[in-house]
Amino acid sequence: MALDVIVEILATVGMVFLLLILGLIFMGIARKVSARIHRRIGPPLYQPILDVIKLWSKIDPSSHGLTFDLGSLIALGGAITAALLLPIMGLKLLSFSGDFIVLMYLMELPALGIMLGAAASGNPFSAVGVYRGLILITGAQLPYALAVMAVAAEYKTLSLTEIVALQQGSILNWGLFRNPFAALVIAIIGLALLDVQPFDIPSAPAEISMGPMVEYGGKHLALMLTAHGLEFVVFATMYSIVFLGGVSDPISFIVKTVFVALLAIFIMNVYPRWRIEQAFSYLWKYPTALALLGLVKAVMLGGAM
Amino acid sequence: MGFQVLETSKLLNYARARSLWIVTFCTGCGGVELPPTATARFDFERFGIISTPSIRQADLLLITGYVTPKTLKRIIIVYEMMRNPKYIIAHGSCPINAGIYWDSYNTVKKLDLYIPVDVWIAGCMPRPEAILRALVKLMRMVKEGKALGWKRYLENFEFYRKNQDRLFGKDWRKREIEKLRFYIHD
Amino acid sequence: MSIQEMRRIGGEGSRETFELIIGPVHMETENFSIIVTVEGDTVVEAKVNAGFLHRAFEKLAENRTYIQNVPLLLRVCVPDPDHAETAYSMAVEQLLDIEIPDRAKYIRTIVLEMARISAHLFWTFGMSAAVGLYTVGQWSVADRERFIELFEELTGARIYHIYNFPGGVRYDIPMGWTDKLMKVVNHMEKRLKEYDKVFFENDILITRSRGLAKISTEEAISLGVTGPNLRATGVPYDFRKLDPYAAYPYIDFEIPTGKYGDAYDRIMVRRREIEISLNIIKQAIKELPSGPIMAPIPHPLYYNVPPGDAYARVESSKGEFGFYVVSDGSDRPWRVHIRGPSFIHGVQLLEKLLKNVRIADIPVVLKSLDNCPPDIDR
Ligand code: SF4
Repeated sequence: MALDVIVEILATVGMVFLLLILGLIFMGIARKVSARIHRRIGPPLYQPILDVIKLWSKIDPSSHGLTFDLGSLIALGGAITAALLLPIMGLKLLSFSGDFIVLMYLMELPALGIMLGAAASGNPFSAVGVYRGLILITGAQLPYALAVMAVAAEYKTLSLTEIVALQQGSILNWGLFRNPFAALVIAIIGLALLDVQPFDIPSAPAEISMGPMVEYGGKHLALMLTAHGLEFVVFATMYSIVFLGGVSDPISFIVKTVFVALLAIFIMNVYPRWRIEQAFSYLWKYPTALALLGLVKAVMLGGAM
Repeated sequence: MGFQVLETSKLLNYARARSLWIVTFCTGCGGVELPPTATARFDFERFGIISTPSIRQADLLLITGYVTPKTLKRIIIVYEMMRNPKYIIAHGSCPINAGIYWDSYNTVKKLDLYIPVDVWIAGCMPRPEAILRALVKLMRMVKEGKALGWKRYLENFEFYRKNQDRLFGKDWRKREIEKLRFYIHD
Repeated sequence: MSIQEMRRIGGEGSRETFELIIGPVHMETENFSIIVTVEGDTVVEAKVNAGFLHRAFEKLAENRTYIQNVPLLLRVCVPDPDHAETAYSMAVEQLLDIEIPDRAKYIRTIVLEMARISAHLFWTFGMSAAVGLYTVGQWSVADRERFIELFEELTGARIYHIYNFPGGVRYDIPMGWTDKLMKVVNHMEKRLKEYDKVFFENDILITRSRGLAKISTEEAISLGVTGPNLRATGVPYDFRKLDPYAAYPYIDFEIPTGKYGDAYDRIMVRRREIEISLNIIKQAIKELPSGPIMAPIPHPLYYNVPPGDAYARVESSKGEFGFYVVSDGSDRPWRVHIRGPSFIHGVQLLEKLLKNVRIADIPVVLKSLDNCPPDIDR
């Protein structure tokens, strides 16, 4: 009994550590693939790990008060909690019957944490970035909620483990084919949550110099980079679990998550950035309509194909 | 004690050398050679170098050419806002001795009187190869723990401050900070 | 400090304003700064804070001989130095009253068009970064590198060529250079189509820049706007046709114009200009005459120029670039005045156009004007 608990704790810690490293490697993949699209050689895959070590090695403290510190911690904490909810490779760390909904909303926590901290920094660029970020999250809320409902209605369950179980069998059982509308909407919203083009409006480097991140340096930035990488992995894993038939063994885990990440990277490299109000009205038009369609399909046809 | 470890650790120095982030601040004509250095033909991201628009995140300040007093004020402020350890590369013959503008009334003739420079690049419009060579040299220095310009600045702050005050007048810092109040916090 | 304590300039409640300082530590502005007063997300007032790059060219030019001035004055506009050196050389040629040989004229045309293309490709980098698409920017700088390499082979330098000289050009074209140039031109034509797909015809770019920062022809003319920015309002005003220099009178080309004078028109005019410049290069290579490349000029040590004054202008990649040179008969100019396009585009026009745009559009407007900060300050 006691041994079980210890093994479970060890597995949890190991898993979190692994996912953190994996998140950084994913960012490395993003930079490498972007570089190849730019026709460059690009940095090695482990580059973000070096970046994080370097940021931890900065000597000066760089704090603007408690809220500022808390912001980056909340970002990382949210990402880690979200990671623990995922049933990866047969491990069920924190899963319970309603974990799908919790996961979906935990994915927004890193962005909110960054904004909380940034608002405390007092830099005008951060302020602009923060209100852009809040508007973007508000805009994403409606289609996001509808799409989540569509998925829930499709599978008639809110547990990720059961969602995976329902997708076994043939490839046509995958969520992608059962409810393509919801899959598309969640992919679009994912771009907004991950802060990449065309939705990298909160941190537009060419407009407002990284927005909320402008005052973050050193350790805070290290935490944030880690959180961002983890968010990337969590999103990719969540997407593979809900729409691509689950990740029950290491090979399918790697293949599916990297596939999702590559899609995001390709999109990010061929689209410019929207203006905030254009993004907002876009989000409330097509994704919302698609999500509604998905919901209607799920409710009308149920789980049947 | 803790600082000692931070400064001399081999792993940290290696990470610092392999991830130099540049502030996007083009001070002179040399800035036109930075995009070629960053893109396909020369690609400095191979060495982990990227440019970031945020001063707080950056480690390396490139002074890409002639410096006028108005720019120098900003350079000093930017340099002081960056987090230690930080490095400076001066780029072209203008920061060394004002180059072709040796008789202009509005250029700074000797840059290292005002801020500490780690690596100099000679040449009027240094080629991207020269920039890369300087970057690689700086990386080697950082790896060996020899790029100590930021320490020199702390130790000889009186000297630098005296020179800066002579050029800009006594309370230039206060005036400049008043202008940029909301961008500077310490 | 919190958002509420941010610098308030005036106003109450939801209409309060605050100040944003954009630049010089910014990705798009280069060394130049704009102070904008913002209300919510809209700019109410923009003030340009220039002067970070003032080097006193007009004064320095008075202390140097006519020949020493060539390497100095081309540094006025960094991304596009060839037009500056040509304009200055043309002013000195007018003073000396010499006509340059035909071959030099054609070589100048080729070099100037190459310079225009590389300046526009460099601008594409900034423009595409301003809307957040880094891919095309990376490609265009890499493609510009091919032109730079040709420049290097022809002139020995990458950026500052010091090639167009009073009296002609300094070196003849090396063997096989034109073939290489033709290869690059053909390559560039293919690449432009790819740029179109990814960037110039991108929906998001069009939604973002159509109708943004419009300027009418009358306003543009009354401000003194020239170059692609004026052509975008629909006027085919181009010194290559109106006041021809080099070999332009013998070459057949059209002048691209826009319709509405908005940011997208300005972008597209520049994009079409790249295509037309490629065509001009092709024609000029085909018709390249043989002969000398340099007219007889005075001995460098006794380079006295007869008294008088002259104004010469070229159509640079940004607009009218001119030099007014006054000579008092000695070996140094008595006065040199520089008429650069960026002062107008980067100060008056920019301040006017930035009113009532969103914060997110500031870099787009700025880059669509394509000004060059070293030329603003001189
Ligand atoms: S050294 Fe030459 S290229 Fe560099 S800033 Fe000075 S004049 Fe310009």
